[in-house]
Amino acid sequence: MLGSEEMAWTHRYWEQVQEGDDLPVATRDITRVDVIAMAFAARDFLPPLHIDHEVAQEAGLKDVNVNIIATGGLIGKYLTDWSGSEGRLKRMEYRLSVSVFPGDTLTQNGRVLKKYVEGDELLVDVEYSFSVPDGLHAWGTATLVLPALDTGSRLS
Amino acid sequence: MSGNLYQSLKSLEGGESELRTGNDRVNDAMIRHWCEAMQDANPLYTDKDYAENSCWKRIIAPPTMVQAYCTPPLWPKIETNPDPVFLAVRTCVEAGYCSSLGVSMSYEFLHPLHPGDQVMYKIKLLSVTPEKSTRVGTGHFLAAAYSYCNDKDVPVCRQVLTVFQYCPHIQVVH
Repeated sequence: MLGSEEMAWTHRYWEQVQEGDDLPVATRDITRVDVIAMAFAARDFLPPLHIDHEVAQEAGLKDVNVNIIATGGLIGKYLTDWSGSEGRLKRMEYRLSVSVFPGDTLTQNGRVLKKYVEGDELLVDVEYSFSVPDGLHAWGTATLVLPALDTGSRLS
Repeated sequence: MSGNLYQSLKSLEGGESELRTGNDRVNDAMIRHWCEAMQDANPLYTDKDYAENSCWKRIIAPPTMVQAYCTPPLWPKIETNPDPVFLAVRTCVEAGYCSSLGVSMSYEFLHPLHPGDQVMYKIKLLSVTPEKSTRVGTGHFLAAAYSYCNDKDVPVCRQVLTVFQYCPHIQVVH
């Protein structure tokens, strides 16, 4: 169990989702400790652009930045915060532009592009974009499997 | 010179590593550290009772975490045959293209990982581009494909990471 901030993990059922639905906007203030904790969580040390300020500057960056694996983790969290824990990430891709540096506020947006059935899976395609004050950080699409209202989970 | 570099990189394209074993089995501590950094409260990752009553019947690892079990440790150095991606990066570095930046990532998640699972993986150099100039510097885009399975040989994830291996435009004056 993580901390005292209990989220209500209600499930989002496929039938409740419409194409064009917006995902809630989420923001997070990223600290220097966050950037380094993300590097350690991903074990992304080499080269140490995400930990060592001087190495980052030698690479032409103004500071340490959030690593690419962690960006995927943040996207995954954003999507399953929306879908609920029974939502399953099936596919995800993202491109990166502007780095996330200590002190940046990361703003996360998303929208349902498509809702469809494939085999016995109830799917939604979602587009998302994560931005910082200097511009777009990461953007892309993902496919999630959602549970059905009538049968509950389709995950088994 | 850059033409020779491109030819060297091209000769590595399509090559794949042997099957490798991740440094750590999937475990609660690494999952919790990941969730702490991402501020991800999904109870499937950390709440045993919740996970046991879910469709998965037990804890799963955050799917986007798969590479964290496989990144090279600071110490000790792992003795592996240099894979084509490593060789491509080293070839770039030796030619003066010393900096690296993640450009894009894609994942297909095929099967969940649970605590106790051993991640196995192969790395393939999927593609290299001719020299390009971007806002950070001049270099080559290298696409690395990772294929992961668990220790029961079940495919877990296919991932493609594209990095820009470059010589920076800006040199910081100390």
